[in-house]
Amino acid sequence: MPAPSKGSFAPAIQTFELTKTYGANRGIRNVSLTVERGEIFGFLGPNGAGKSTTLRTLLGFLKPTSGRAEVLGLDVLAHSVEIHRRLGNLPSEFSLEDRMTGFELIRFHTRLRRSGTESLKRARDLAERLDANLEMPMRRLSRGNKQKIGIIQALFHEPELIVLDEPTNGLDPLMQDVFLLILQEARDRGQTVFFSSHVLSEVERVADRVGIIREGELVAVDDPNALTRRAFRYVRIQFEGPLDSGIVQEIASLPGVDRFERHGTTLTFTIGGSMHELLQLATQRCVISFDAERPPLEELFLSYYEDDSE
Amino acid sequence: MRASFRGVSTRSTLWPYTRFQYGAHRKNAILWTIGLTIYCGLIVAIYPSVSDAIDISLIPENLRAAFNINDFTQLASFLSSELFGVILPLLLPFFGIIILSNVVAGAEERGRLDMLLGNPIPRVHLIVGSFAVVATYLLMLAGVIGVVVWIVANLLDLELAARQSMRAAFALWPLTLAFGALALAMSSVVRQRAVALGVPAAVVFLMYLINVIGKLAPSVSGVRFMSAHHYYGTAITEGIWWAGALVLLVASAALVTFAAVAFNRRDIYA
Repeated sequence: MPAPSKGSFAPAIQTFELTKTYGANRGIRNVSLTVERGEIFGFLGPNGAGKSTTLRTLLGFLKPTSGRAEVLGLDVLAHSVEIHRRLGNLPSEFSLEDRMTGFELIRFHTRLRRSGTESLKRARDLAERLDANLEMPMRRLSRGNKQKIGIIQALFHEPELIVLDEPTNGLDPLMQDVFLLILQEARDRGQTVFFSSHVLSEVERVADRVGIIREGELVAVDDPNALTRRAFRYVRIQFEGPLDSGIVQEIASLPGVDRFERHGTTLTFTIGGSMHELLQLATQRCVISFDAERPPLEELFLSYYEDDSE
Repeated sequence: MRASFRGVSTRSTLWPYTRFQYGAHRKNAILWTIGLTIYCGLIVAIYPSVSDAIDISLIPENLRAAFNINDFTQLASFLSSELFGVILPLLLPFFGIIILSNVVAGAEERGRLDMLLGNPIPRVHLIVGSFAVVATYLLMLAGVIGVVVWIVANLLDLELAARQSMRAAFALWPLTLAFGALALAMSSVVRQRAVALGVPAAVVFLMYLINVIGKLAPSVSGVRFMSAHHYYGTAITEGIWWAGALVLLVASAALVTFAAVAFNRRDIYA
């Protein structure tokens, strides 16, 4: 990895009320976000939520309508070339020079970056791990194999910051695992990873923190565990012996309880917030089993949408 | 050039990008070279039969003036009105127009800009590097045209000096550069490659027409100053019109500068 340079102590990414509008309903609004050095930051949202717009504004491809952004401590508009020298970028939609092979593309990027033969060796190593064919003309590569070339060109020079837009698109599950492992290794070396996705399970697996964007607005930033802790849990309590309606009613009316169902001596429901009162009530009876499951991030993600639409 | 661009050596990306572009368009240049060699050779080869068959006294005087038809008993005069008067000034600009309309609008349309500009390459290098590649290939094509015309003429024992053929060919260079620069400027402003290609293509024919109309009708001859073809002149018979060439080169430089500024200011969507 290159030696720390200008802006080394600043966050990897920092945006201040960043806004980019194209028309009435598109773009991003007042996005204020900080990505620290050495973390993997997952940027979640469905298609059209503003993920790519945010990334493209950070890369200096789009000029903000208002607000500003800094990458590696440098203003994205004034220092875009210096920023690009220190980051690796994978766009969500891209096409490659059809006649070139993957190796020729990487070699071209090596020349642009003056990154030397060591980086070419790293590209070959990455290609081996991702099972990518660097020798075949790119017009003959499948979508997934082109995506692998895109990933390699974003990573081969070991940049300080890796910006990836929907990086697992087109990768089979096995390659997704390899790719996520590569990202974790990059983080362990001190590199920062900022990647967007609408596949929440992959973000949950590797991200240190998660940002959720909805209709152009950043609605939450936290670590994946804190997000789920803050959210509801699925609870299933099985009691011994018959239950009187009093305790059932008391539990059902606890703050945060929802989707309450009773099946004989078993109660199932969701609960948000503290479980202190629930535990006090439940332990007044003989409990055979008590399960409280965190929701998968997918459901949590949906809950942000439902909450907002309500 | 060793200036720095916000801390990054400008020399570091301009040459690799330019070299890449040379490679990317080498095949195009070879195909154009083959096509032009065949076409120019054929035009010179058919001259002996044409010179006897056409009586230019039957052509109205203003038409003769408009198309530089002076004397078909001389090969240079014939080439001035045919190859270097009509065909090449209308055809050769398309080499640059096709390539340079692709630099921004075409590349953006095909989703190729993001990955390229994710490298530490200033946008101006794409403009300057692409234009330099086209300028070099056009110079090479002009040289090929001049040499082929002279060789075929000599093989057929036709009277044509090497300097006549070469200056006629090299006079095409500023003209074709100007239209290429226009395509580059369009490419930097619009988002559809078809527009970046179509507008300069239409302008080539429109300017040619304006120049011809200006010659046909002396009352509107002033409009010729709006035409790039006016500044091209008739180099094979009268020598290169250096002032005209300078106007075209200055216009090219202005359009390339405009392209760089416009590209630097625009949003890139893919």
